[in-house]
Amino acid sequence: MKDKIEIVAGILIAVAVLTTLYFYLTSVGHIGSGEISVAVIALILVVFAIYVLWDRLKNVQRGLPSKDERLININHKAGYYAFIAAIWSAVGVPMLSDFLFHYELEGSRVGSAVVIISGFVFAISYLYMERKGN
Amino acid sequence: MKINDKENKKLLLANKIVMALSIGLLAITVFGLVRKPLYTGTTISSLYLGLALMLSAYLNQKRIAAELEGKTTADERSLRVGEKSGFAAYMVLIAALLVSGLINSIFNLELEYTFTVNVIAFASVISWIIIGHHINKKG
Repeated sequence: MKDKIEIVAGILIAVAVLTTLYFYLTSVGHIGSGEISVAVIALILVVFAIYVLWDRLKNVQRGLPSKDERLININHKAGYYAFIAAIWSAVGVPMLSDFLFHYELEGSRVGSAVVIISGFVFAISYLYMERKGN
Repeated sequence: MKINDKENKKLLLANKIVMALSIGLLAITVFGLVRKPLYTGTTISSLYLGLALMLSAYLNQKRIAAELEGKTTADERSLRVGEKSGFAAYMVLIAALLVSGLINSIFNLELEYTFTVNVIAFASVISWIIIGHHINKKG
């Protein structure tokens, strides 16, 4: 039951992200390269989340737990790497912007960069460890 | 796992580079405080990064010294504790970023977001340490 609730919650979050993205793109007015890149990145992360949910749903349909001990460990490890990436991107992105472009990045953009970079690190390390083994 | 001499020399060299980098970053912080206009984000970030690198270099130095004496510094359990608490702290960080962003836009709080991101990042590092300590005690 807990597994099913987790999967349903995951699907609802993915739908919420897609709805937010739709409202964001319709409210922007002019859609430039910046908006398109944000949308593409968000879609890549949503596709990754759907893949993980689909994988867990298959396990539940077979009557197995949605994630075994190995997947739990991989989840923790990928989360740990994403956390390190989030911390370093929070300090590194404003510095890079200042040194390379002599421009102080707004905090909201730093926040977005942190979420996107750490999301990618989580997705890539999760998929890599899932294929390679723990 | 005991590390061999060749690898050990490489680690020590890397550690010295990290130490030099951290000193450079702290120098940038001092420079950032006196230059006009004041870039608060970069100044805070360089201070934060410089201190983190210096702490990490110091801990690495201690670890290498302990391993040279044949002591085991990180067993499987402590690695798992670090990963598990890192995962939990990551969830705290992402939730705090999302919730603060939403509250900021809903209630028009006009938060100085450059500071907010740094405060959230710092708070999540503290939560990582606290959660790690809790998991370590709990088992």
